[in-house]
Amino acid sequence: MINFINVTKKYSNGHVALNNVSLSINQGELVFLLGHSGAGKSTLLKMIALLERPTRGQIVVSEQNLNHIKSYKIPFYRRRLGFISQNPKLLNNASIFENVAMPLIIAGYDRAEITRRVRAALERVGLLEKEQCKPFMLSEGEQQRVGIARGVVHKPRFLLADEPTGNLDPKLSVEIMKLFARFQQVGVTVLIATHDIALVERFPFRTLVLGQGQLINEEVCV
Amino acid sequence: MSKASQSGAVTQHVSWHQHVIQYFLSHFLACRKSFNNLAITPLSTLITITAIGICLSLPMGLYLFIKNIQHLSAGWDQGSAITLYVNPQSTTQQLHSIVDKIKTYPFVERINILGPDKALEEFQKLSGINDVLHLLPENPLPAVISVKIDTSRSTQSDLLEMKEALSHLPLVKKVDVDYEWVEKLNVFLSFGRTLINFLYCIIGIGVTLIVGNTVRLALESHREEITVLNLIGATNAFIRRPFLYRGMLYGMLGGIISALIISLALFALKGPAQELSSLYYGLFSLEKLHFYDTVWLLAAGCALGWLGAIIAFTQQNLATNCEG
Repeated sequence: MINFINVTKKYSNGHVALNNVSLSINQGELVFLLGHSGAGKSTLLKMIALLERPTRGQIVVSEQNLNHIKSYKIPFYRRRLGFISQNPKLLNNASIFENVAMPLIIAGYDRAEITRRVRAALERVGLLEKEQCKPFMLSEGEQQRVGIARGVVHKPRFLLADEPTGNLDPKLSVEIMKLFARFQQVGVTVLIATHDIALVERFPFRTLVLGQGQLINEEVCV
Repeated sequence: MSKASQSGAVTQHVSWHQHVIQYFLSHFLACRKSFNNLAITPLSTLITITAIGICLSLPMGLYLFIKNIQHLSAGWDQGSAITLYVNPQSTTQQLHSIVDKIKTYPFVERINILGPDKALEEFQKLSGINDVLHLLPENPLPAVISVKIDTSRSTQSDLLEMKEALSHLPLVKKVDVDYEWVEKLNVFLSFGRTLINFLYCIIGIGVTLIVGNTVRLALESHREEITVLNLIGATNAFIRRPFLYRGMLYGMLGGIISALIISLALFALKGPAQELSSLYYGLFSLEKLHFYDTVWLLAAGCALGWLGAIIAFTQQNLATNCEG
């Protein structure tokens, strides 16, 4: 599903974020990407979402080489994935419903379909009764769940989550991770970047460890 | 294949007419959104559109001014002619021989003879001093031959030569050429028109910059939203659209403000204009802002606003790409 082949990312200031990384994530798998801040986790996710381009190497997603995707086609590529960041960056003057509906509006779905899918996504994260609320009326954990609903509302084939529990307490973090595990159960490929080792150890999923831009360890928890 | 990938239809198959509906719907939504965004900060919106309005009213005001002057000169424009004052004692036959002489010039368009009696009658009508004229023993007015000139076929020196030749005829007392005056006015008008064109350019750039700067600030305050939209697969056109509408709205509202300013100025000038009108025998009337002018003004405002917004967006986009 997602393959990195000798990928190196060097920024213009000389900082090497990723150094010759090769990895492979299978379809329907949930993989944790563990590492300290600055280890290159975010860069790796950003490259899959084509927010960054590799300096060297190839990234192949669903048999498509990302280096060959032209700039104007990037938005259409991004519609196939869900990206969840540490800060969900919800639009404060729009309701929860409108926030979650955004990817569908962009893709040009009709109104009935939008309503149906947004309700389903909100139900999945347990926030259906808050669809008319504004983001500031929600707790941080709820806001993150809205971010997740927005990330999955268009039924992407794979989900990328960059520190999705960074701002949350341990109990909420576990809940969020369980939510991701449920998406994996229905066949979505999930890649979660986090620095929380304790949290990762509670789940039986493969973990990739990044350190100083290199893949230093690969553990398979059973 | 997994359940999710089977159902994961992110690309919806739609017919062409649904595409068209979606296209217009997205434009409508973007327009409504930009209008709402302007309404959120009414005061700063008002300041911006007033600035644009004042800018636009400058060339528009000058345009109307020149149009009024043109209007004023229109009455005399027809009189761009040579006038001969002939001895009142001359006979009709003598007058006709002068006319025949004049007819030899190729650029003569029309010749009008006004006998002394007719001239007196006209003078009475215009001046209203009947009683005084009756006291005079005889008609003091000369016969007048006015010659209309096709100015496109003659130069000033042609006319001066003609004047010279005609003034040497025995019965002719005086020859006047008013071509010079009209030409001076035309030079003045063309100066004004050049000035307007220059102002159009300068003010156009000014309005573009005002809108560009305002939209740049708006882009800055919507930075997070733009990041999110980028991430969830919005095309550049989709992200740009509300900002372009915002720019166009600024321009159009600025145009409305400028139309109001000009209408206000015209209203204030109404009194003096009526006085002028009575001075110039109704030749002068204050030219109003016509429907066509207003439409033109709003369209120009829209276009400049759009241009400013697209410049701001492109600049912002380039800056973001460089950062990345």
